[in-house]
Amino acid sequence: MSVENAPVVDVDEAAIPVEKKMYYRFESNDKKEFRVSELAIQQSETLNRLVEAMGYTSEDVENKPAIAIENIDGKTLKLVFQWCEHHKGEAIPVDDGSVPKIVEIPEFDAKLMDIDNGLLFKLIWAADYLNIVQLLNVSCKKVANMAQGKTPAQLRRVYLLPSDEEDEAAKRAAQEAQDPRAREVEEEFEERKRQGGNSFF
Amino acid sequence: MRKTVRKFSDYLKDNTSTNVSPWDSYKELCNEFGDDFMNFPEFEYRFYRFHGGEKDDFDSSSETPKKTFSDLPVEIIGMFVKKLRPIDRILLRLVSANLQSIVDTYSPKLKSRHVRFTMYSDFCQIYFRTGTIELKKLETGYQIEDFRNTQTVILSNFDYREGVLNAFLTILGHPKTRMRMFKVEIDLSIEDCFWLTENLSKSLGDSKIWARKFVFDGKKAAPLLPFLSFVKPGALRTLPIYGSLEMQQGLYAELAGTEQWRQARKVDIPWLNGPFDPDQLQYFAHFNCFDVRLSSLTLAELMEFVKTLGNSENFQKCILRGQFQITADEYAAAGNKSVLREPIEGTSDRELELRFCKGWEGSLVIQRKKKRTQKN
Repeated sequence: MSVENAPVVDVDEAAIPVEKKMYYRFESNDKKEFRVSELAIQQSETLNRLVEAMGYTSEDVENKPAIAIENIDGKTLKLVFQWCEHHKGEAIPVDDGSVPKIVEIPEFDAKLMDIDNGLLFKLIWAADYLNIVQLLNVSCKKVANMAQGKTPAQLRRVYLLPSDEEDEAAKRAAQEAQDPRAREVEEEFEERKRQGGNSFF
Repeated sequence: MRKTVRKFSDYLKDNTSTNVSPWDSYKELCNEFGDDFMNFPEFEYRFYRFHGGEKDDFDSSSETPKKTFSDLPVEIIGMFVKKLRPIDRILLRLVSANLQSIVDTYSPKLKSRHVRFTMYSDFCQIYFRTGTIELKKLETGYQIEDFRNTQTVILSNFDYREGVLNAFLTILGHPKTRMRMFKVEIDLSIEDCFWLTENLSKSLGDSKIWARKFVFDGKKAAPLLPFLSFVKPGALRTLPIYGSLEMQQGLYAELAGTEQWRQARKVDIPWLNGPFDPDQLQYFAHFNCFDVRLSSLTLAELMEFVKTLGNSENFQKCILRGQFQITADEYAAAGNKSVLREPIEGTSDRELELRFCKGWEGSLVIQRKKKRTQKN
């Protein structure tokens, strides 16, 4: 099944036919609504627990408001649900040593993740938030593949990684923002040291 | 930039295509406009937008993606680290101190029966089950290669010694790393040796490398002691030494002072590369098994040593190699014996058996054996 044909229903694009099964409605933080099959939801431990706890009937799904997912935008959520629909019914990997650690990215997933870095990182974040183990595995693998053969400078550019100096500056800025008085005290102390004073007090 | 490229989409249209990866297109851009022109994530974002059919004026910074790799939770970065190939983990560890710490925390422990670390002044190799990492010193910087995946990366202006240290710590620094055999082959100047061991010591701290067998080949007399100190005492059972500063200078007493030496069960020193005073045999008596080459051995010294072995709790077998002048008959005559057997203190069913072997190099085998009953 291609990425385009994955049966995630964006309510705005409701022309795509929906199978007669139990579906749930979800809403992203930018108010985009999706209908996702019960089986696809099982890929997400978080959503699965949520819908189980809610105990919705088919009527409830239609009559009650869509379940809001406040931390994820529509673009990312669409990718997440496309992935879940494509992989519905598949076993969820358990990290007990029985599953091989080498992760292969299936063709569908590779095409789904052929996106810019910003969206890919959002997808990883969403997979983690919704606890979709296999999506997290393949997306991390995709990011790992991007590192292949790169020098430290190239890695810094690809992942926008700060250098030690930038890390230090950010840390200082955060400390200052938290406690501006601490910086003043430190400066005063340095000044007194320069003037030859032995004690601050 | 605005003056150079009025519409960035024009550049993308003229210079990029979906058949070329964003990274390769980005490298082209850097070649043309310089490395500082635009960072890769921003370029990649625009690349995909443009090839997805959206027009893109350059000055649309408000739409720049905000999620970056560094925004991901540390556990997720850890997952990513676990999925990296060893060479990529080594390179990522060089990016910053923060990433170094994440790589060290989340790197998978090495699962390999045999690991070999070889370091020369201009070449280093780390061999393990799933890869072979090689570093070659260049005029400026060094080249790192994943031999198995035929991947080569050149690190200009990077220090070769620092590179070796980084590779060592990335592959072997995991505190739960376990090896059946860990071989260290070193051919370096004393200064480089001490630099490496001092920095390894700083980085490893109290953490020790778990290896059942530690093989050391110090070539032109590299010191064994600092390397031996990285190996976990107790875990270490077998210690073959093919040459070291200590051997060359006959400093067996210093080796014998280490916990690793005291707790090992077997030692092999197949080559004589320094003075070996028979007095130093005392430092071997606690081993289950040892194989050493001696410069000389007198009858009196041998008799004294056999007595020491008779008192050893662990001793099973030893091979003493060298051009000895003693014969089996001389030994038997000196002890008024008809057979070359000696009693062991505290046991009535075991005894020491001596065998003098002839060959191009004379050798003497002493072994703990079941006591033979005298036939009438």
